[in-house]
Amino acid sequence: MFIGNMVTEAIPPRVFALYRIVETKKSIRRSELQAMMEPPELREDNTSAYFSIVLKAAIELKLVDNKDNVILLHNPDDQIRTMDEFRRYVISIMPSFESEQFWRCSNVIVNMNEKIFEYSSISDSDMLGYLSNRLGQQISASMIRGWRFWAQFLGFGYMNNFAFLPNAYLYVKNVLLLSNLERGKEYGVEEFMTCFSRYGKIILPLSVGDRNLNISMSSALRELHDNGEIVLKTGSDREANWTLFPSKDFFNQPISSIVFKGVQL
Amino acid sequence: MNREIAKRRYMDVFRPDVMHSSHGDFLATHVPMKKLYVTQQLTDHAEVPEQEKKNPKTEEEVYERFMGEMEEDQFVLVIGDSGAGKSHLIRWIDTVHKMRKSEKEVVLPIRRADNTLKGTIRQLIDLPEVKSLPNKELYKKLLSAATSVPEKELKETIYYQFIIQITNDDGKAGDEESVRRINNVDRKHLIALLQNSLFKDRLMESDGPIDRIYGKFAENKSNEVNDTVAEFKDEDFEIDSEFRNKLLLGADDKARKIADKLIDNNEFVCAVKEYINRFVEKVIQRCAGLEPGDLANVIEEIRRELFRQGKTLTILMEDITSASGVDDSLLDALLTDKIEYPEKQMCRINAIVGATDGYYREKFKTNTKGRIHNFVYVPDDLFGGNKKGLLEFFARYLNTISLDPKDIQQWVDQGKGEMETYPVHVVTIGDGWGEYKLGDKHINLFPFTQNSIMFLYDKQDIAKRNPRSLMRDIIETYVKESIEQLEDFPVHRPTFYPSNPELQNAIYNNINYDDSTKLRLACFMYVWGDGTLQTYEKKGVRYVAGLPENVYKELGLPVIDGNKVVVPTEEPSVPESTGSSSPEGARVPAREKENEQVMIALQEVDKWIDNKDYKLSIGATTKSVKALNNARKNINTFLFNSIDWQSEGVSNNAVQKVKNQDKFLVAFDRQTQKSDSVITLPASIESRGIIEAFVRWSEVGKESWNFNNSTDYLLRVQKWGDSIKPTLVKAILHYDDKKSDYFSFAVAAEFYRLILNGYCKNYQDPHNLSPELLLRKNQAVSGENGHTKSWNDLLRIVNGSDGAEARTCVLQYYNLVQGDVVHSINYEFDALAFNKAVKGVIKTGLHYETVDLQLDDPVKKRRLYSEYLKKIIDRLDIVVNDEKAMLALQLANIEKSVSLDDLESTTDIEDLIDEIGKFYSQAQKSHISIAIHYDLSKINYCKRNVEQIVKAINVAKQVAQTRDTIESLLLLSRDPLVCLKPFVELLNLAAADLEKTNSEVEMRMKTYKTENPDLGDTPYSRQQQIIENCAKTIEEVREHHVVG
Amino acid sequence: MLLDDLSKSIKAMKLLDTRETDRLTAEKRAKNDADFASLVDEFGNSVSVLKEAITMLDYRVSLETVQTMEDCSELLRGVIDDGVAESSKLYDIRQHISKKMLPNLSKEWKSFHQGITGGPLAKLHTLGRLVTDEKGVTEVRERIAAGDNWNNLSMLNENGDSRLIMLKNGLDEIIHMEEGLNLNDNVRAFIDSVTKRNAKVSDITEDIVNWIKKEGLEDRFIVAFRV
Repeated sequence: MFIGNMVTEAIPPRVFALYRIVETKKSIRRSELQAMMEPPELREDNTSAYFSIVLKAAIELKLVDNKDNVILLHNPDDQIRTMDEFRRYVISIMPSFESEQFWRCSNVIVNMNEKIFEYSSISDSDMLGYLSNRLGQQISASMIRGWRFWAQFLGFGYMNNFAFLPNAYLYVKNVLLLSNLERGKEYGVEEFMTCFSRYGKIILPLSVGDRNLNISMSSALRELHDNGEIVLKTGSDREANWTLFPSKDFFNQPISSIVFKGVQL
Repeated sequence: MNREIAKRRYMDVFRPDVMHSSHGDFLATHVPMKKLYVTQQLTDHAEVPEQEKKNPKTEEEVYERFMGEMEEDQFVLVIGDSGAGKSHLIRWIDTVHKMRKSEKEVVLPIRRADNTLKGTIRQLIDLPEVKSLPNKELYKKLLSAATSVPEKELKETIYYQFIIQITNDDGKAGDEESVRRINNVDRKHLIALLQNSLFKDRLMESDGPIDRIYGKFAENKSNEVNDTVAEFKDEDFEIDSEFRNKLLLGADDKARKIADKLIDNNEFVCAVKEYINRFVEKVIQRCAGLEPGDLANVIEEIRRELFRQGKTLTILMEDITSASGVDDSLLDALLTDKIEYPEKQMCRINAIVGATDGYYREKFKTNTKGRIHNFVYVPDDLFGGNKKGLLEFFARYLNTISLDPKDIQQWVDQGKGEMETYPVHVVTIGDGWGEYKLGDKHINLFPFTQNSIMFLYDKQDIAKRNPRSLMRDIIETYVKESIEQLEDFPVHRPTFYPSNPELQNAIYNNINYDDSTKLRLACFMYVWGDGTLQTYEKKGVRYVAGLPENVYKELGLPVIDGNKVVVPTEEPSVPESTGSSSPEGARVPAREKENEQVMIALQEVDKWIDNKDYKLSIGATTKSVKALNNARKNINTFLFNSIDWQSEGVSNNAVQKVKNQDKFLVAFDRQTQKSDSVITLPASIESRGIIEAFVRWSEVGKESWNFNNSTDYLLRVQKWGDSIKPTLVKAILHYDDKKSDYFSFAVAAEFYRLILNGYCKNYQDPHNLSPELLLRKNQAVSGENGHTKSWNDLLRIVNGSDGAEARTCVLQYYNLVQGDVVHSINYEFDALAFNKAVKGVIKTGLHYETVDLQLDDPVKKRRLYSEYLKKIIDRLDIVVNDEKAMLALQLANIEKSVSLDDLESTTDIEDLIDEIGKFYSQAQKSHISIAIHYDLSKINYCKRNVEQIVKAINVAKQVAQTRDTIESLLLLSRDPLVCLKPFVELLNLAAADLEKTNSEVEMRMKTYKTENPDLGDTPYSRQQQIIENCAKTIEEVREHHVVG
Repeated sequence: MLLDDLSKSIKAMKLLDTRETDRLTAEKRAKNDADFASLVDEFGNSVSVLKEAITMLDYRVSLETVQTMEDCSELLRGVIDDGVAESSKLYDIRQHISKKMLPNLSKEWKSFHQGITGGPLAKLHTLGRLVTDEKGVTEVRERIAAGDNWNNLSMLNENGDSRLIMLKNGLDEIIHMEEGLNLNDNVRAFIDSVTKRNAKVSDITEDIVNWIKKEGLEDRFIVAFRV
């Protein structure tokens, strides 16, 4: 999922459920773990087991390790209790996948901006063609279907059926939490972005010099701003500005600084 | 505005077509018409050829062309849409002509008046020229035709005239040359249908065809201009099944047959309608007691009389439909050329006649059309490209309502209606709203501003930009509001698309105003003002959005703080004549044509927000709520789709339960349809934004966010969605502050199913059941068992669809599926959660009482599990008791033959069965009749099951001691009866057969006791003797008597 | 208690069986015994007919036939030794009697019959022309013919005579007839020749002529050419 090709089967709740079992049992034989998730008697003969795919994703995410078919926690000291913690954990290790398909694909999609609205479905063949072209590798419908689960879970945007509706409010909120920002402090936009990009690079512009924020990021900042979780500020210094995606109804001035008020979860 | 005068006057001015309209008002409101088309020929579609459209004429030019001195007869048809201004033009010609005509010219104006035939005839008989007609008979006829008849009576007469006409027809409707329009059978059926009282009531309803015909013929009951055509429409004969069913109750067969034929048969409906419409003219004539030629005769008589007097005749008829019923012959008379009938000695005639283009197209006969060579076309958009004209039109009307009629009369009488003497009203309200400069006079535009006039004109449907509609829809509407409800002005709020949302945001985000004020203010500032947040001070007066402070105060609206700008250098002035430029080009920056559905929906929403009593007819199919219905549906779909339920810890199964019952997560406040939604969208600006976003998504984006500025709408929706998400997530599994526990009920029911199917034989205590039990194939067990009927009845229930449903729920609830699939055969369990939840159920020991269930769960698909579990627990006691009774009976039966103490071990039973086997086997050997009962398979079955039989007996003993229903059930699920029953049967049979055998054996033994077995000692002595003798003889023969 | 009752009942049925089996055997034996008796009677009959034929006609049989009869008696004796007339054995005996013994006896008797009746019949033929009692001649012929079948020999006529006796009587009658004609040896030789159709004129001796005259048999002779 996160290393190599994206898959549909390793959806976030499955990976988390697997982790939770291992976390509870401390160590468990692979076959026993599989039997818990895929009760053998219920399996139709012709259904393929997803277990190994889910397990692979959990290993990629450094949640668990497989030692001679015994599954152990990768880091026995850390405990992830909730889906929210799980999300934040995954976001925290997202940077390590920067060269991988999932990371790159996400980055391309969030930067499609309004072009994304032209596709009623992310698995639309034109969309797949576009992505394949941009990524320089074939992106199939099943890959992108798998992508959507994580995109939605991690909070790049919303899914309405197969339409992706960018707004990384959830993702950005988690990045802000991970970034240990100081409450009430006003950050210059450059400083803020530098700090943000440590975990949030995946939703920032494709190229480093680009200071135009995409819809996903813009909507996230506007929502945070409107919720009072941050305050966007504009100043006279043109050089140090980041530009939001144009809006008529919402904050639409170049951002020169951001006050971190503290995010609510 | 002079409020005091206007209050009294405005209705009189706005209803100009009634009998007593004022000549003065007419002149005072008249705006010179500058866009008239003159042509000698219309196209086939009754339109002006493009060529002529390039060359519009003014009213003066038209006058000159057709009203000058002439020798020849002339007929001019003034044509145009309803309300375009035909009458106005003809009336203006009349007014001007009266002043300019020569002495010998006699003018007969036939006003539209109330637009009925009777009204027209009344006008005729009042004319001195007609009164003095030498033909007194004809005059009398007219007099009687004009007589009023009570409405009801006349309508009845009209109705029955139709029946009489159709009855006497042959299906050709008087047109002998044509084919039958309707066959005789259908015609007779139609008569039957018309005679049916239900159907009659329908046709006689107000606004029904008879009412329409009556309205054109006798009396225009409304003050409105009656442009409707006196005829039947398709809908009059469109019968739906509901009406048909009503009809079935009383109608005779013929009526029913045609009613059936009319259902969903447009072609036939149309044929019937067209057929019956052929009689309208004749029916009206009959009811008026007129003959087709009567009006023509009147015209002819007048012409001959005037000829004698050496005069000429001008007829100005505003609307030909006011002669409905005799219009055809009247036209014929007006078109009669004196040259063709020199012997009749008729004067010259100049007829100027008005007709809507629709009427011309459809009602004028082809040969009549061919005789008309002069057309004046009054276009719909009289003010298209003429902003000045439009503003003048508004200004004159607004001025007229504020003027005392005396002042106007004085102007007409003394000032000769000249521009220089045109009176201007004294403003008592509306200072600062803007003025229109008419010559050197300034006319106050209250309750309009130039902006609002242009905006409202632009919003007006193109087909309704004619003077009458503008007056009625716009001027009258807002004048009325300004007089009656100034504090709520503007009550009618056009939708506007804020090209610059800055102002709207400033208004909508202001926490000091309530929603109603926000809406009113925004509308006012965008439509009446200039739609900007700009403010400036001029001469000590603060202007916001181009309007002075006092205007807002007059309306009780707050004055918003704006961005200060410099005073505009010039006051906006109206260009003299913009010529080609469109009025909307004047102020409003180019804006997209607003989507109609968005407009309709927002209008409805604004009413809803604004009016605390207004209900949204959600669920209805009317046009106004169609988009809202869709929006609500789409909002729900969006919320269901966009929330990542599994990540929120909600099983997809639980979501589907709610979703599948078409539950709406969101409903509108004050919607007519009942709703158990989670969120009620309040009537607020925020809701408006959400609704608007979804209407745009569906109507503009065609179900996508691919439309202009969609990201803002989307963000609004996302923000809102995020804000209500926790509520929704909680609500999905809750009702009445209770958590819906349907999974537990499904699990309990599934455990019962497993028990009943015998999958839990090894358990004695329900508290020991394990979650793993549920995760096996656990197919329904069918086939023979030893259970009682009530057990098997319950087994059938649990193995039925309810059971399957519960099992699906058990297996799918914690199955982590991909996307929103309802259930998947690919299992990927949230094993920890599953085990925890199931253990919770096990902990109850499956002891559920009715009160523990959630039979009041409003979500049907969840309630089903409670209902299903109730079905099971309601039967448990019966099932267990029946089984217990049956077991006790078996034990009693055993005891009849064998003491239970003798059956403690397998060998005990084995010996007994063996002995029974031997018994039957011997009986068979001995040909005892009961040998037919010898059933080796049964004996072998019992023999094979000796162990089970022992257990069964023990279970039976144990069950007898068990009080707890569920423990009993578990014990009973081992099905002790299945082997016990055959065993007991075998025992009973053997016992019975034993007796029979004994008596049979006894009987047969008796016969042996009477029989004397004759068994001699030497049975063959005689034969031995013979043989010995023979042997001797043979020996002798051998010795002595052998040949050779 | 059921167990005990069952075993009691089983015992009762077994006793019944024994009884019923017994009865069944007796019936069958009676029938077999009857069959046996009839076979023995049949055999005895044959032997007594043979004995009579021997006595009356000095009849002789072949050794082979004797053997078959001895075999038969041996078989019958076997049954008696068995003490039981077994159906299969009875069958064998019946087969032996009907397929071997009786056919042999019949065959041999037939030829014997021809042998003993040829001469007397020829004589009867000749004598018949001499005697006036033609009806008596026919009767004699019939009696002799009736005894040609062994199997019928013991059949009795209306007078209670067996066919064997009738045969014997017939033959005796012919002798009696001859004696009644007072024939001397010459005459007898002559009559033989005439009967054989080879009497020559030279054979008509005086004795002969005298005898003819004496007996008044002139009309009974003619002279014929040798054919």
